[in-house]
Amino acid sequence: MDQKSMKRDMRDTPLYQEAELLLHTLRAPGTGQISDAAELNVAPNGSRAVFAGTILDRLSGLPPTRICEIDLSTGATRVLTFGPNTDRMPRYSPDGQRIAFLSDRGNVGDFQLYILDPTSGAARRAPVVPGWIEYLHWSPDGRSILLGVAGYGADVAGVQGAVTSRKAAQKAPPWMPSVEKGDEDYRWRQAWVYELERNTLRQVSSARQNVWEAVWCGNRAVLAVVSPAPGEGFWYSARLELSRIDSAERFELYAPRDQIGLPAASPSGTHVVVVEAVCSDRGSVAGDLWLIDCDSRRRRRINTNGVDVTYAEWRSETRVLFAGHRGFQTVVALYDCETDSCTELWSSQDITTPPRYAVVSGWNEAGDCVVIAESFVRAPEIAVIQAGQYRAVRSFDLGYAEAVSAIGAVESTSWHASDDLEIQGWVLQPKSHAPHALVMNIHGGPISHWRPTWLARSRVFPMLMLLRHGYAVFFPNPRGSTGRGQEFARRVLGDMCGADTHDYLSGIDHLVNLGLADGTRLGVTGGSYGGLMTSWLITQDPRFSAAVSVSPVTNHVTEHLISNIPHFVSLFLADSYANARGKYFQRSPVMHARKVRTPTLNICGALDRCTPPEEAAQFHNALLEAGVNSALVTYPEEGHGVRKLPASIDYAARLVAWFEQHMPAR
Amino acid sequence: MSWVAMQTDIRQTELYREIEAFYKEVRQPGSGQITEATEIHASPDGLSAVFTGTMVDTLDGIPPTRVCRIDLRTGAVQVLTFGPNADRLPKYSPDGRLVAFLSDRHKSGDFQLYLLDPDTGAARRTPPVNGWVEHLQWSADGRRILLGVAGASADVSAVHGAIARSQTDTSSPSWMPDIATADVKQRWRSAWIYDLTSDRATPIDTPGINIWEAAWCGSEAIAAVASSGPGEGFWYRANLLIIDIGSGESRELYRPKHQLGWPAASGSGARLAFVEAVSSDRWIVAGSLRLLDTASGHVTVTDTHEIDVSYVEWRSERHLLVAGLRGPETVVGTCDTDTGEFIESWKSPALSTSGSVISVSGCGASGDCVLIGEGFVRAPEIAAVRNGSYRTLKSFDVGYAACVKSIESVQYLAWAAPDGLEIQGWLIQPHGTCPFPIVMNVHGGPVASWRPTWLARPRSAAMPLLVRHGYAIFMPNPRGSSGRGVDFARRVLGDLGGADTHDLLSGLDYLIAQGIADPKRLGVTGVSYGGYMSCWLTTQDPRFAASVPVSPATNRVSQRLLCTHTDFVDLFLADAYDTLGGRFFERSPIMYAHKATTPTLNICGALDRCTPPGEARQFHNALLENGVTSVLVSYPEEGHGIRKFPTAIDYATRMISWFEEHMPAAPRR
Repeated sequence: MDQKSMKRDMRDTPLYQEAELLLHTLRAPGTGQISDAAELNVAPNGSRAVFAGTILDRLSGLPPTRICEIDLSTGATRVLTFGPNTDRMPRYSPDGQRIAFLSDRGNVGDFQLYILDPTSGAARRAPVVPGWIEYLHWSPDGRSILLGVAGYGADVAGVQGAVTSRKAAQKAPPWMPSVEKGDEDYRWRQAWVYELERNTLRQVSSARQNVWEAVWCGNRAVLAVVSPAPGEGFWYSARLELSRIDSAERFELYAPRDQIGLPAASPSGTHVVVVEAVCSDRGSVAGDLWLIDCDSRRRRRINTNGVDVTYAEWRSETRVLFAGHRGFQTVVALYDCETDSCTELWSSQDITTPPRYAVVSGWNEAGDCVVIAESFVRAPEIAVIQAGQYRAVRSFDLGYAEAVSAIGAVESTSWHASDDLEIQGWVLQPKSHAPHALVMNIHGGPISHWRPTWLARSRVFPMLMLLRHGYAVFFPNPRGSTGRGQEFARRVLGDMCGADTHDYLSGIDHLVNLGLADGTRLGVTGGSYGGLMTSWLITQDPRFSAAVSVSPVTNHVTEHLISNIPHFVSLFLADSYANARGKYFQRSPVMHARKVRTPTLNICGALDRCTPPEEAAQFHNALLEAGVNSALVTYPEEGHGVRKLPASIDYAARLVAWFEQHMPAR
Repeated sequence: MSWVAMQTDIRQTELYREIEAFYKEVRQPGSGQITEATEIHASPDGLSAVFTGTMVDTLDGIPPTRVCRIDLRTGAVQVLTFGPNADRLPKYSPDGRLVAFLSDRHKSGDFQLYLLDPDTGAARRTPPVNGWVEHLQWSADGRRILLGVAGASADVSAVHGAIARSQTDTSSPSWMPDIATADVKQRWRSAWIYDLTSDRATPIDTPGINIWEAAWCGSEAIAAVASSGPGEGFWYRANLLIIDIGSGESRELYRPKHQLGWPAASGSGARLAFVEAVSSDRWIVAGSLRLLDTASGHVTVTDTHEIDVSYVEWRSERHLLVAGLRGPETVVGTCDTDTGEFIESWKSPALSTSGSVISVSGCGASGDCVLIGEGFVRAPEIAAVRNGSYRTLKSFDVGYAACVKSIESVQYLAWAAPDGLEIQGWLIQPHGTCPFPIVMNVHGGPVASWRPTWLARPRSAAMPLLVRHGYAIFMPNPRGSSGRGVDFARRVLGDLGGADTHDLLSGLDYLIAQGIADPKRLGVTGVSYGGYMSCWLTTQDPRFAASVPVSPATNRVSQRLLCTHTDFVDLFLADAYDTLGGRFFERSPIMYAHKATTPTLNICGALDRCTPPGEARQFHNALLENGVTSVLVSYPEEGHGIRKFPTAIDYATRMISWFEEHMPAAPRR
């Protein structure tokens, strides 16, 4: 048994200290420097932009963000807020005079609305809503702000950590039980409107509708993605609805076949666009762009020239700026409703935009926009795309260029799966000579993808460590992945742990055949669906020398009955857990644990509601019983994925130690 | 839906206050009175006995226990220790001059050996062992004490709550992960010898052997129930070993077909008595008495008049005091191991002894003993059995008799299951006229039994209160239950959720046919196996108006993969969890949740490692998904079953309100 990765306190090991030092370099805690950026919003005149900048005081907790403003001509950046806790989602008012943002400075996790005057720096809090605010939108006339409000205790989406948010302050004695009946009021999400002149708040969504996403549709109506009930699982069958805020009048605009998200209405509210996609996670929508006429409800699918759309905003009554992914590329384009045609403004294979999928912020009818851009070898930077030209304005590199000098090559590669379908992926190689010890990192979802992202965030930071230790890292995008169109995505629906299994194995065959990977030193890791697939692959094929399964599903029955996303499981397996010989059993790693020989490190978060810790524990116990070398690491303060510091340092050190133990790079 | 069941804080409700008042009546917190006793041990001269007494200070946590002494001539009781925390398991030395006992006064949960002079009251701590002491036995010469020691993170049996012992030391940062691997040394159980002369405790060196139970076997060896690994699951495969205390060398004496318990050697070590039984829980072993000649290894089965034996004690080289259960009866007798003759000295259908199985403590060689007796309408009392007659020496009734006046009658019934097998059970009826709404309470195990018991403990107090509210209580002993012999117990092996299902349903049919039970107001509850059955029955039969499963198993695959007593599930289902469509699936309530219609209150303890809380949650979610009324109540500080205060009050309140909501006994006020 590997003593190094198995000791409880790793802090005195060289690997832990190396990871900590590297993060110190990349994040520069305590220096006041911005190390990452998100939620960029450009001023209406295109001269400035605001964003949530990450500034670390210490390597502790979730990295906090502050509202920052950048001058797009000079790149000069100033920090406008000072917390405490987190300030996020800055949005300029339509006249550019004020900035609305969210902050939990009053109470950790309880985000409320604040209005900031960027000239004076003064911020005032709007009246408090009963719940925490997830997003905000200014009305086109600038007189109201639409707020998405989640009840205290509502579950948080898997992409945000999947913990249960805190219920309203309770001082219950420690023995008192939790009592659940499945329809608690506090789980609902609602839309509220704040009116600036009257300084008043009111709920505008119906009490019987759970509102996942809402945007303005003109000044007096709201366009929303809604379900009749609040559970995470209901999101998978959500519909698009239009409602007037001054009356109870509402009507359904669109009931999709798959999932919908990213609704956006033209300024007058006569037309809307929405993305329909096969989805595995709320908050992670990439697919077809639909244009809908609000009066006639007639709709048409926009030909995006193969782009899975992940962002859309109206730049005029007839023009929609959108961004998305096509194969290896990130694409920004402009759609013209009158001519029903798309113009590609910019695309790149090397760089892309964080966080989850491509996002931009536009300021004019031509589709000129600002982006946060990054790559495997480039730290986040703010850039302007104007007349199709990319211009970097401000980089947040605090030492990343040096840190990635260990990377010898970044390559995109494609191969044919056993059924001849073309599959793509990225390979990052160390500077040493091939063949390399190779770690395959499987993305979550399964509807998601790998693209060129900065390797300093907690989820992928262990990959940077592996590269520096001489491992090649393989990021495959099997069937189901984003960027290859909806038919490609749909191929995993109802067949999870089916044909996708062979996309991974054929990818590794491909890299071994190319001479890049050493067939005797193959490792696998991944989180969420990637954790499921890590656990699954080692039950199906003996080739792996080591596995690190993070936040996995290992028994689809318990995943259905304990997690907060039962609908996801039935959708992606197209079966029922009550079918004792069905896919819930046949495709559960625990049912095949006897076949495993691969030493496995199982990692989970005790607070995870998306893939609860029981999943990792079941597989661990099944492996031990099968005589397999297995360790179970449970982080008490983590949810879905290891996100906080210093737990993410510990995680990176353990992952690298496990691979070094079982498949040394040198 | 029941308002009470839905709230988090129900302390202001009338029902909660009624139950709190009940506990105050029967426990008299703060009064310093002993209200419960266990672990009695008679002095060698038979003039006094020591026991573990419970005095409730406040209705908070698990009530602490103290070592107490009773004068067997006068019944006068004296409290000998003063904690803090728990003092327990007092044992007189062979010369009667010292009392050894266990206490965690130094650090909660860390039980160590103490030696007490009962006349002066002075107690001294012996050098601590690595881990916590679970049991002790004096050597025949009184110079050494055998200690059963559990490692700091050993599994805790279901009988003791099945709460995981944390590896976490409180000084480490809160973010730091818990690590589980195959090889955790601190999970093992071992035997230690404490030497009074040198005041030293040393472990017997037995690498690779996990010792569950041990007893002196002569002066240089111990007999042990032991297995090759430390997890709770290994217990089901434990063998009987003899181990040399000096060298640690061991020899297998007996490899049982089922499970083992209660090894006891005659003073010379020539003969070894033990019990072999079909068992579902460690520490609940009741079955056939076996005698082993330690020299030849020859094993004989002794006729004990169909008693399922759970207590053996040598009273001489020849005479063995035996106690156990036979149908409804608690029986004490003496076995002459030379002739094989068994003479019963006392039996009772109305009284039994406290504790998870029947036990007594012998005086003299003629079958006399002292015991702690109790019944459905009798609070615990210390009694002596002399020349076959039972005499109460000291009652601990501080208000129970008055509280159970609402019980009209207690009866033991028998009926025939569909396959003709006779099944038995207890019926407690309220005042009033038949038919009554009835709550069937299914016991745990499945190899356990309902026998006369004081109904004021956290796990049973809802029963007399339900009776007070007009409900009849049915406590069946289906196939698999103790007290009917090993063949009867064996009938549930490999068939959990099979024929036992119909034993329970046919019992209700019988009560309906007798006009006792109202078929429209049938409720079911139970803990552990009883919790499983409370879920299972509602998926198999639509007759139940309300169900309250407590600490249930609802998905045998996940239970198997997350619980500590893994082998139990394999044994009682006679299958493997990875047999597609096998009994792990066929006998899991979640697989039939779409057939359930019964409103269900699911109760679990967040710390339970026997039936982990995910079990209750899975059934709850499956019921909700199928449109069935369901509430999930998870107690953050409880393990397997409800043991602490004020949780016990909250628990009884929710259960009673659930039955009152869905199958009212009286027109609602």
